[in-house]
Amino acid sequence: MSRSSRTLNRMLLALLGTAWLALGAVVVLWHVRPDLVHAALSPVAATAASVDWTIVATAAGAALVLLAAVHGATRGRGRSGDAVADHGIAVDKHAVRDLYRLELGSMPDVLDVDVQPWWARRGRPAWRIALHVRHGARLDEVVERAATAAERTQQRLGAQVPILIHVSGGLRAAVATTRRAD
Amino acid sequence: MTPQPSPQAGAPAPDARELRRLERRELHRSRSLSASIALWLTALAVAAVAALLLLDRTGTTVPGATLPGSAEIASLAGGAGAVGIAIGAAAGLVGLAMLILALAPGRRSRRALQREGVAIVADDAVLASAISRAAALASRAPVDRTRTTLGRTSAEVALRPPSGFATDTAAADEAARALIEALRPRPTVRVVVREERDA
Repeated sequence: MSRSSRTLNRMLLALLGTAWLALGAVVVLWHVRPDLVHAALSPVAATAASVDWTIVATAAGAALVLLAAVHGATRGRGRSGDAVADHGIAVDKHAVRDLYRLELGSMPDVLDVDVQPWWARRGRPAWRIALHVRHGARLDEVVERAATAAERTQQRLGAQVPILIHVSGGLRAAVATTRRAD
Repeated sequence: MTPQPSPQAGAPAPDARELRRLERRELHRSRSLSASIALWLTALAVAAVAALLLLDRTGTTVPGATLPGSAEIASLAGGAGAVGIAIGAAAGLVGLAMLILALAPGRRSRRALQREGVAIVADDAVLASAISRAAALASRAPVDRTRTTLGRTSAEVALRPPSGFATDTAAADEAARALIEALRPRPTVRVVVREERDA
């Protein structure tokens, strides 16, 4: 979870995909039916001949490399090591996690808990709580207690932020042994 | 301590819209990596053509290598040849792959559980194993011989009791339904329980 814009990524992909597809189609068509392409491009042939394509390609290449570098460097931002509590006091995310674990109490179905605060768009804070549970966990009970514990943790810290809880199995659940008599 | 919004963060109470947004981001894949790869691919392709044109214009030669010049680049678009068609087709396929990545829904195998105040997302595997367990316990079938296949709006529970043992399919169905009602997944899941016997 980060604050990267998903819409921007999709728009970039759609734009570049259309450009590549169009370029590929024109090149293939040029080889298969050159007369068609010549006829279609004849109105712009005079302009195209007067353009210095070396300069255009160099400028476009430099701009695209710069854009790619900026795009790559600005992805995945927004994660924070601290959660903001009452009166703007920063609390380390591990302290928040320990408090959350305390509120959750002893639950054999829950293998691991992690709290990740992050700054969403427009500087709004949010928390993502990851719960790793066993295979065949009593999901209704886990969800009930996880949500209650999240609310209580917020109350104790005096924070009021949107919380997302992700209940997952994963590798730890696959290797964990059953500690319960079914 | 009374709960109150922190003055510095200026956070309003978590409204339903914000929670839905978080939930949506968690349910769908991010295209950050694919968008970055697509951008770099395009940038390097354009930069390579520009470099070849520049080398050709300045008359620079690289010792031990014959680089294609402006004539070759122009003939790729103009002249006839299988290489040109292959390159054009490859570019088209790259474009198609990018378009599919951009337009496909990109769902992850997770689903939202509706609850007031927080956004909860559970992996499909976790939900399926929870349904299996609930159905198995209610029908007295062994948990490890119960399998749940989770579709987008349906859950198919297959009970495979050992030969000579009876199972209570109705009870399994009821328990699985009760679990779904308690969890309230979105979209909701229809439960079908059936019994499989070894041939």
